[in-house]
Amino acid sequence: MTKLITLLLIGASNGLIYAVVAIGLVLIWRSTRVVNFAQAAMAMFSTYIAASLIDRKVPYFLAFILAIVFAFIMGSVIERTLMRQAAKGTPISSVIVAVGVLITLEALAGVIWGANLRNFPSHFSLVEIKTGGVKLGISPFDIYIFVAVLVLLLALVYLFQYTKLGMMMRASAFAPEVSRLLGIRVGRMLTLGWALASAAGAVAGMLAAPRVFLFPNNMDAVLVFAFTAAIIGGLDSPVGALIGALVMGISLSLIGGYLGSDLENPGAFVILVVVLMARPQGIFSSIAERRV
Amino acid sequence: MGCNLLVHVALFAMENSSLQVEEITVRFGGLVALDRVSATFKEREVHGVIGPNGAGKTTLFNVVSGFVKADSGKLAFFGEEVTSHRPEKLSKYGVARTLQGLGLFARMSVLENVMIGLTSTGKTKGFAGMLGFGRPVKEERIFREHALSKLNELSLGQYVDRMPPSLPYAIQKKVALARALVLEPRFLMLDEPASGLSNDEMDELGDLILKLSEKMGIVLVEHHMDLVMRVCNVITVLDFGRVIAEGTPDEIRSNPQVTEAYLGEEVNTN
Repeated sequence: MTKLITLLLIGASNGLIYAVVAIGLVLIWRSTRVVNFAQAAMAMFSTYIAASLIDRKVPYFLAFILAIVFAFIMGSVIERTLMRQAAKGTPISSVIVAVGVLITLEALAGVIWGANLRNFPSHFSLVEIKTGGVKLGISPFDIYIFVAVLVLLLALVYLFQYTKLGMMMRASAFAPEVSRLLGIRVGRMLTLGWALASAAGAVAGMLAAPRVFLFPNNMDAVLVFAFTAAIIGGLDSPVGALIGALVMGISLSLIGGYLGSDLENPGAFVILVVVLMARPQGIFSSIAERRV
Repeated sequence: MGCNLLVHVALFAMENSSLQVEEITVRFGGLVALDRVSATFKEREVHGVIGPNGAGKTTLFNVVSGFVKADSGKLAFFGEEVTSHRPEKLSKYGVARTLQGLGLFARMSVLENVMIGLTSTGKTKGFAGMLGFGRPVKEERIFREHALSKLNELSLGQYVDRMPPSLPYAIQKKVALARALVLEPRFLMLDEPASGLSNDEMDELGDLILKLSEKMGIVLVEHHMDLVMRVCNVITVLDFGRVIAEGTPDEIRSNPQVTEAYLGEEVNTN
């Protein structure tokens, strides 16, 4: 019973990290109909920036924020320079360019920081909290993940639902032509979408790194899990992505705990294939004709 | 010299309150979509643009609204030549346009759909402004009131909190119109506003267009001839990208070229 609870809590904590990456995918998919395969590599790169800063004695939280700022700028630049050009081609061009960005960033990280595994500080203890000798199955770091992701999600909800900017971003995503006629600078909204997705990725990268370590493809598996989560959520629903990510996190934790950790990655692919076969438009998508 | 100047000034004054397209040519590959098309849309006038399918009506609208770049020719809004036109700029010129489809945002309420027509005008630009700190809260209230009054004006007050897909088609069309009108444009471009409407709804639309034309210029692309003939002061007829006739509804009705363009279809009204 304790094992089950522990596995559920670890699963939820991992799921929240997948959720942040998945929401980044959703943000970009909604506005540009591109699955950003570079999302994980961008997150990895920003995490290396934070690690370098921490190595130079920059306090953890300052490094955390600076890495987010870096990610925000990197996302804007990638959209402005590469993705906007790619969008002029066929739909597949954007996907190929995104994969190109993935490969380039991973190679570049290897050149700059080396390909070896390194630690990334968690800032909070990874050891389970005990009260009166009873293990709670949850560490201070898990609580930190929960709080950080919650703050990020609330900030995004506030942005999209309660601000003029969010309204303009939603409008641009769903009807770019009409939005332009209404005077909205749709191009800028796309850039902002990439910037936000990249910033969210940085948060995910820094939260994931203490457990998966930091190396140039440390986020590849996370991308597969997050992509599956986003598909479960219908690819255009942030709430769907969150639920999908929790489902993924918990399922994988249970598979790893009861069937063996070797089966986690194959398990993720089985879930992905089953969802794509049974409901390609996603389980939470409200619009049926929006195919993946 | 002096005389020339006078003529010039007079011309300028006249052009100053109009949208002008001059000798506009648009080619899509080998196809000439518009062939030296000229027209002057005046304020407080309803100007119809008609023609068979594929005649170039929507392309003309797209050139004026900046979606399509003309290969040659000039575009002038209120006497000022427009170069490097983009759709984002249209509302700043005081020109609003509706699309053939509804173009409503399905996941936003009717009120939000109309409010968004105002966002580009906000005085509080920049990030802080858009994120809703300080002054913009007040601005949003102004947007809200403004949008509400426009919705009430079109008797849509009871639908403000509804989501567009849950409303009858004719009501949705009116919401799209309210959004175009919320900026109080000097010109309104309507792209097939009557499609999908019943006869009664079309009569109502006609009344509304006539009422709106007291305040602004209206450019109307429409297939329903009885509506066009009823509300338009001037009609431009396009066929294969060329202007084949321009005149009052009566002149157009009796123009043999127009009748021919419609392949014997009688341009009939009652």
